[in-house]
Amino acid sequence: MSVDSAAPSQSGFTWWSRSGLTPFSFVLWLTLGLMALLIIYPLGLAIVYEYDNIVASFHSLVDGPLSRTVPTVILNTLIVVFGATAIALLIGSILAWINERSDASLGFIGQLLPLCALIVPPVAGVIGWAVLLDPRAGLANFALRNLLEHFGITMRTGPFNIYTMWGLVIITSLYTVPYVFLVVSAALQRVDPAMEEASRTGGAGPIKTMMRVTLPAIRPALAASLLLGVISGLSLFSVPAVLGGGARIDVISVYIFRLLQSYPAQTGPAITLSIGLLALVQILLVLQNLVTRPGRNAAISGKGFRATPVRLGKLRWIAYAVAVLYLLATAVLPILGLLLVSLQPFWTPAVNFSTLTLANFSFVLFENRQTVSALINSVTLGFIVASFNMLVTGAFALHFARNGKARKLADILTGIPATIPHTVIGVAFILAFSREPLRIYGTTAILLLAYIVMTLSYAARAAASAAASIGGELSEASRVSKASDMKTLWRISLPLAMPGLVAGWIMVFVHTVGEVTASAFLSGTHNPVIGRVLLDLWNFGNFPQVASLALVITAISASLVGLMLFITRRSQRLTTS
Amino acid sequence: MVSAPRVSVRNLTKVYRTRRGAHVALDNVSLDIDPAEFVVLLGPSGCGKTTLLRCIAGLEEPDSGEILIDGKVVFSSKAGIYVPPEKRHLSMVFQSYALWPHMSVLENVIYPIRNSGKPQREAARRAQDALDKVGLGKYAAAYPGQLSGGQQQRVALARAIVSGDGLVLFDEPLSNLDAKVRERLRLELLSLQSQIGFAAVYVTHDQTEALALANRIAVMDVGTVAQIGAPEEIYDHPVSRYVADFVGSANELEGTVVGTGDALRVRTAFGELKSANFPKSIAEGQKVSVMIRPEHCDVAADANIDNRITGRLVRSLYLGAVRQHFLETEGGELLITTQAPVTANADGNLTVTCPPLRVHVFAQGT
Ligand SMILES: Nc1ncnc2c1ncn2[C@@H]1O[C@H](COP(=O)(O)OP(=O)(O)OP(=O)(O)O)[C@@H](O)[C@H]1O
Ligand SMILES: [Mg+2]
Repeated sequence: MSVDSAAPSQSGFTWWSRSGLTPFSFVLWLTLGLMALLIIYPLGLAIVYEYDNIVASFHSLVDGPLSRTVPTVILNTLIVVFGATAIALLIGSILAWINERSDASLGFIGQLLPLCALIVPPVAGVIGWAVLLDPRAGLANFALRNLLEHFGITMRTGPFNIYTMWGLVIITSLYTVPYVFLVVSAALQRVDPAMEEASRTGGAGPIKTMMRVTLPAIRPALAASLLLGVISGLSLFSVPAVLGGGARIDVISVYIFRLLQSYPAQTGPAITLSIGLLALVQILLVLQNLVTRPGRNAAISGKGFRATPVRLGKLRWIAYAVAVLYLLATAVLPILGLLLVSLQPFWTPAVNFSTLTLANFSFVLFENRQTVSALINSVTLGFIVASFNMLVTGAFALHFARNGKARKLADILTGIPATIPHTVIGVAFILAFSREPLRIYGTTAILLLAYIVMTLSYAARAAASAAASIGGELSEASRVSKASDMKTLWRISLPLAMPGLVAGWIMVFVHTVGEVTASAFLSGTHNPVIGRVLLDLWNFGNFPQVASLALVITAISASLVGLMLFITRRSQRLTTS
Repeated sequence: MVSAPRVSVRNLTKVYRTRRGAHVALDNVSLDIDPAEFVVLLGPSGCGKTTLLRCIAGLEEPDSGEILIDGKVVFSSKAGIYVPPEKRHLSMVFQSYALWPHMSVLENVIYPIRNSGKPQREAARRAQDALDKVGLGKYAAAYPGQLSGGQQQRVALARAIVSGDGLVLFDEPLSNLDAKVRERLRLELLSLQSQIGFAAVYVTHDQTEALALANRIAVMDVGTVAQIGAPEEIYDHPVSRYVADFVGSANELEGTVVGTGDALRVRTAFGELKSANFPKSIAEGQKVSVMIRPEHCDVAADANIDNRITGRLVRSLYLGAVRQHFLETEGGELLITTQAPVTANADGNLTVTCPPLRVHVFAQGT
C-alpha cells in the first residue's frame, strides 16, 4: 500500500501498473490463490497418498466384506436425501408461493422462515425432536400416551418413534425447507405476474395457472433448490448421527465416519466413497445446468413486481397453519423439548416441576472441562473464521467492484466449496493433514482451515451482494477527491458495505459454531468443538447436558441472527430515506 | 494564446472492447482548455462526452494519445505514463451527485481537502466557507439523505470547488433537477467560476445550457469533435449541417448551386436563394444543403429585399417570449419565429425574407 501511494507519478509504467496489479491486489490474489489451494490440496493429496488403498478398496467394496453393507447404506442415503428433498421441495415451494402470490402474505414469519436453520442449528433441532419423540422416554410421546389413556387406549411405547426411516426423512426435510423457500421466493419475485394474470383472464383457474404458467417459469429455481437440497442432505451429518444409531440405519456420511473411526481405520473405502459422493454432486450440478440453460426459460424479466395476490378465502387459514406448523416444528417444539430436559436432573418423560434446576447449565458452562473448552474453541474459531473470510472476500469484492473478469474468476473459485459435501472435506483433511509436511490433525488449526474452506462460499456471496449495492460513482468521486484506492476502500466502500458484511459475518459465525460434519471428523479430545462434543455427550447418554449445550448454541445463534435482522433493516431504512 | 493551456488533450483514442466487439468511443480527439475557461462538451447521447471527461479525470485509461494538465503529462501512451485520478489535481461533479451517504454534508466537503494534506482545522474552515458560498452553511451537520436534489447538487459543487483545483469537470450535473432550480444553479455556477477562476469542462446535451454557460462549445459527433468555438460562432457559423442541426432549430432544404461569387445563388424548392454564408470549397452545379433558422426570417416590409419566400400562414403559436408561425409554401413548410404578432394579407398569404448572411449552405453529406 505504501509503495502504491508513494510511487512517483511519472515514473512510467512499472511492471505492476502494466499488469493492472497493485501490491494490494497482488496480496488479494495471493490470498485467494492460497484458499483455492486449500480446497484442492487436501483432496489431491489424500488421493495421492491413499492411491494403493483406494485401488484395494474397490475389491473390498465389490466383493469383499464391505460389499454386503455398502449397497444398503447407499440405498438408505438415497431414500433419506431424495425423500427429504422431495418433501422440502413441496413444503418450501408452497410456503414461498403463499408468501409471494397469495393474500395470506406471511409477513414477519415469511422473513423468519429462511433463517430457521440458522436460528436453531440442525443438531440442536434433531436432539430436540429426539427427546420429544423417543418411543419410550419421549416427552411428547408420554403426553400423548396419557391423553390416549383417557380414551382407554394403553400403550407402553410410542405412539411415535423418531428412530425410523420416516423420522430421518422428515427431520432432514425440515432443515432443507429454507433453501427451497429462498430460491423459489427469489424466482417468483422475478416472474412477471402479468403472465399469470394473462392466463387468469384467459379463463384458467388459479390451480391451472400455477401448473401451466407459474411452475414452468420457475423450473430452473426448482432444479436449483433440488440440487441444493440434495447437496445439503448428503452432507447433513447431525440428523443421521443422532437418529441413525437408534434406528440402526446408516447413511453414507455416518458410514464414512465410522470407517475412519474403526480400528484399524479403513481409509481406502472411506476416501473411495467420498470421491463417489463428490462425483454424484458434480453430475447433479451438470444436470442442473442442462435444465436451467438460458433461453429455454425466457419468462423472467428484470424488474420487481407486485402481483395482485391470489385470493385464498377460507383456505387462507390453512396457509397460515402450514407456516405456523413449520415454525413450531423447526424451532418452537424442539427448543421446548430441550428446555424441559435441560432443566431436569435426568431425562424422564414425566416432568416433575418441583425438581427443576439450572445445574446442568452451570455444569456445561463452567465446570465440565470438555464442554467449556468446546464452547471456547467453537466461539473463537467462529470469530476468526468469520472475520478472516469476510475480510478477504469483502476486500476482494470491493476492490474489484469494477473489474468484471476478476470478479467472475473469484466467483468460480469461491463457489467451489459449496459443491463439496462437508463429509468429503472432513475425509480429505484427515488424510492429508495427518502426516508431514503439515501434521496438524488433532489441533485447532485443522478445524480452522476446514471451516475457512467450508464457509468460503457463504462469505463470498454475502460480500458480493454487499459490494454490488454501492454505486460505482461513490468510489470514483473519492478517487477524484484525491484519495488513493486504498483510502477509498477504507473510507468509502468499506463503511457503505459494512451492514452487508456484518450480516455475512454473522452467517459464517453461526454456521461455524453449529457445524457438525467436519467437526465430527476433525475434532477430538485435544481440540473439542461444540458439534463434536454434542454428539459424544449424546452417545454417552448425558442427555440433560446435551440439551443444555444445544440450548446454549441456539441462544448464541438466535441472538446473532436477531442482530443481523436489526442491522439489515436499519441500513435499508437509511438508504431509502 | 498567451498562457499555456490548463488541459491539453492530444489525439486521444479510447476503444471499449466488449463481448459484442470493439466500440470506438473516442476517435483521435484533440482539445485545449485555457485557464479559467468554461468549455462545454455538447452532443447527443452516446457520442463519448462522458468517456472524454473520465479519461481526463483518470477514471478511464485511453488506448492512445496524450493528456497534459498544467503542462504536466498525466497520460501518454507512447511514454507509458498514467497518473491516477488522485494525483491529477482536479475535481469532478457527477450526474448522480455521488455524495457519500455515511458522511455528513460537512464531512463530504472536508474529505478532498484532508486528502490533499491540509490540517483538520483549516479543512473545516474552508469546507464551511465553501458551503456558505453555495448557500448551505446551515446544513453542515445534515446527512445527504436529508437534503433535496438541488441541495445535494450544491453540496457536490461545494465539494468540487473546495480544494481549489484549477480544473473542475462536470458530467451533466444539473440534468436531474427541474427547470427553475437548473437556471438558478447555472447562474451560481458561473459566479463561482468567475470568483474562483477554475477552468471547467462541462458535459451536457442541453443546447440552451451549453449556450448559456460556455466560453467555448465543443460539439461532438460520435467519437469526434465536430466543431469547437465560441457560442456565437457555433450558432452563426456552423461548419456542418450536423452542428447546425444540433445547436438551435433549423429549416432545412436541398438545393443546387447556380451561381458563385461573393454570394452564392442556390436553386431550392423555395425558389432561388442568395447565401453569403458558405464554405469556400462550394462550386457551381454542386448539390448542397441549405439551412435557415426560424428567428432569422423577417416579415417582408420592402419588396426589393432578396430571398423572398411566400406561403400560406396555416398556424401561429404563442410561446410567451416568442411566436411561432408555420407557412405552407409551394416548396414545403417553413417555420419562423417573431417577437411581434404577424398578420397575413387578404388571401391568407405571408411573405418573409432572410438576409443572405443568414442562409447557410453546406456541401451535402456533412
Ligand atoms: N464501460 C463501457 N464498456 C463498453 N462500452 C462503453 C462503456 N462506457 C461507454 N461505452 C460506450 O461508449 C460510447 C460513449 O459513451 P459515453 O458514456 O461517453 O456517452 P455520452 O456521450 O456520455 O452519452 P450520454 O449523453 O448518454 O451520457 C457509448 O456508445 C457507450 O455505449
Ligand atoms: Mg454521459
